[in-house]
Amino acid sequence: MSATAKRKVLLMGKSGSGKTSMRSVIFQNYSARDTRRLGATIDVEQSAVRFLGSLVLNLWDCGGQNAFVDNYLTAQKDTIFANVAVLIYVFDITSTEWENDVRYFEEIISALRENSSDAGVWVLINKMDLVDKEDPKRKKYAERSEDIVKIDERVRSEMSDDGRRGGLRCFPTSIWDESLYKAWSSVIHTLIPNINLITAHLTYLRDICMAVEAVAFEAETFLVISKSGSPLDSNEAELDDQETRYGAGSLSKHRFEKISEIIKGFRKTCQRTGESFTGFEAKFDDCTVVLEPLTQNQFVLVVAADPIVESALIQYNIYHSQSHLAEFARKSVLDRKCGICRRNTELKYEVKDDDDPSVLAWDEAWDRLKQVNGRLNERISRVEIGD
Amino acid sequence: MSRSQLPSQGESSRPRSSVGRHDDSIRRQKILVLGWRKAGKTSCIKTVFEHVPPSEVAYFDSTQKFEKIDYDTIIPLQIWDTPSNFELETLDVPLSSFSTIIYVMDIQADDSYHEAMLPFVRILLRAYLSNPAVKFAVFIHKAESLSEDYRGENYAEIQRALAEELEDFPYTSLQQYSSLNFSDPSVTNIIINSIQSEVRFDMTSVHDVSLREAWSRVLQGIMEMLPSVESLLINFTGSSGMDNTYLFDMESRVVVASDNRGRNDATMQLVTEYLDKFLQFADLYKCLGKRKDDGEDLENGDMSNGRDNGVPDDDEEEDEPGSWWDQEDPDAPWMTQSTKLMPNTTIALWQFTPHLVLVILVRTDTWQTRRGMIEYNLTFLRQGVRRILMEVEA
Repeated sequence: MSATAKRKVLLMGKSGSGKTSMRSVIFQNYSARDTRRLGATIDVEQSAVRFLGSLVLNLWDCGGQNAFVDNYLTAQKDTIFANVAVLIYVFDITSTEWENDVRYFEEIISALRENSSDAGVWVLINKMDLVDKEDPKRKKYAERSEDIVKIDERVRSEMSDDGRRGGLRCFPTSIWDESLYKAWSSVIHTLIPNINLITAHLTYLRDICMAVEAVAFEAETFLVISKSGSPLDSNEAELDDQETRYGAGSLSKHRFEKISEIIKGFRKTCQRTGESFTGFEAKFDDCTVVLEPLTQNQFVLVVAADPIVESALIQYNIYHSQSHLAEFARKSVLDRKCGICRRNTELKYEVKDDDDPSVLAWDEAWDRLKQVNGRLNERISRVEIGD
Repeated sequence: MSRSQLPSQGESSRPRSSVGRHDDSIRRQKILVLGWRKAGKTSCIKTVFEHVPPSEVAYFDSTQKFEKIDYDTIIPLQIWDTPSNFELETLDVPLSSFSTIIYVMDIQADDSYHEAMLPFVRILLRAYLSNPAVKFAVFIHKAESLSEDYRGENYAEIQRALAEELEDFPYTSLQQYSSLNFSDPSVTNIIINSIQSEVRFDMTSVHDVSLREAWSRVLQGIMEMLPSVESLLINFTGSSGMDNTYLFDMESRVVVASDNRGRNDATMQLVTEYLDKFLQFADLYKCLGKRKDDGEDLENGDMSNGRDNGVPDDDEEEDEPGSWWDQEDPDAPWMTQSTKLMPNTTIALWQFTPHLVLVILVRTDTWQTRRGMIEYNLTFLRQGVRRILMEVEA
């Protein structure tokens, strides 16, 4: 809830490792087949991607030929590596010159740590689809990522340490499946301002819908932004009460990136007939599911596993949360009184009815409703928990 | 080859009630898939009926012996995948027991169309003589490898190759299989003409909807109940203000019947992909519903087994004593979904039977103003389709 935040994202890696391909799949709606048309990137291609209205990613796609890289590390060093929020470094798993690849990586990461010490580093080991047939256990990936972590540690120890260093995470990726969405979701998740606030609102929306989960997706890329309840990568022990009660632990951990892939694929098909996707509702196997636009830049997916929940209930609640969630990304003075925002200390919270006790805040209304329906709720939860 | 004790073409899809489980293979409509080495027979079958992703077809080994693939849909099928060195003599059932023969040709092998046609023409004639009702289809495969212009040219070339091979065929060599007088040119002319009008040509590719469309026409060719199901769909489409309706086989995403209006590649691609993507999505969450069934209600658990579209259930026959309708819970809600597209269209689906799902295309304003009426009419359509199937299977 502030002015637009600009974050610089460097996309680096050797020539032909797939940097521009993945950028095109994620941000430009290319299908994996379409990327065959792409040529080599010359020097640095900059592009700005607006995300959630309040976040702009400045994407620096850096051509990977040795001549360019040498130049980045010398003449352009200050321009390239200053003020970096995230470095995404792409390796090709099929590369035969690993020693060489690693040496360049080490030089780049040293340059990065010197100029932007707190930048996060995401290493994507790409083209996994080409080796998965012969190496299904991904031994080669394990070795490669181990090498990379070692280099990162060595670079850290060489730095005269001032304590603040961004972390490094490694992902296996392929543009042919959902693994790419997983890696990129992880990147943007750390860049979004107010992510905790978004999560708190999603959890609240989930609760009033008596749903298993409510998940927010960015509208253009369909990358997952956040989900209700426990964090995105959490294991079964970290689930909250409602998730446990409805059995969210039995769900696939890869479901969000799969949904990204499914929806993006379908959206591409729709475009061919001149139509655009605006959401759906579904009922199957006791699940009620609604996927709808939440704000201009977000879609929300609400999944309920209770047969008494109708899709109309979910749609009604989404409808009533839309105006608030749209304003809170952009404004600091809210039109809608909201208890979740009020309790958040990072926010400057101003609203016209704030001191009028007869006007309920969004989540207080729910608390009161719960008291009124206390007995009903108790009965519902007894049925749900079962014995 | 003795033909006397064989079931005639018309009957084979109608199992008598006395047919037991061990006669399962007689009950099934047999489809023979032939073609040269590396023409793409196995990929034509497996990408559609066994959920093998198109990206994996390049890794298939060549088929070494007959492989019979049983598949349950609106009618039970048995698809025979053959090795490339296929000889009629190695077949352990009579040629006349096949309801359809599919010949797969690689569109890229344009220097050998005639050579490839010759063995097919021989089998085609033998099959025709033993059972004139047999259906023929030629899948002109790997169509994606050529540009639009060349595709059309090669398509015509293949049709011409078949016509010429039929003309030049030494019919007298077939004398032992038939009492017809092949030295009489009027007899052979009748055969040539009737076969030429029978053979369907379909351009196919594992990368788009064309392969499923080709299979759709193969299935429709052997569905006796097709006209009655179609007339129900047409009636519903007209009376409820639909743009289009399609009845899909859920697992394979093949259309088994439609209202036949404005059926073009773009909308077929749209509805097929819509169904495919939604079923993928539903797979991610369906375990939420199952979990409850396991705990509380065993009968429900059974029912969701029947609806399970994730796993191919090969041994379904053994654990299912009755028919699908006996195992359904009449009060369970049907699977349904609707997707809104801008600016005009809404796509929606409803599950009709464990294998079949209806997909409709409708104007969004019609959907919004008349949804209640559409869903009301739909219950009758669903009932009608189910009644027809029960009648056929009973």
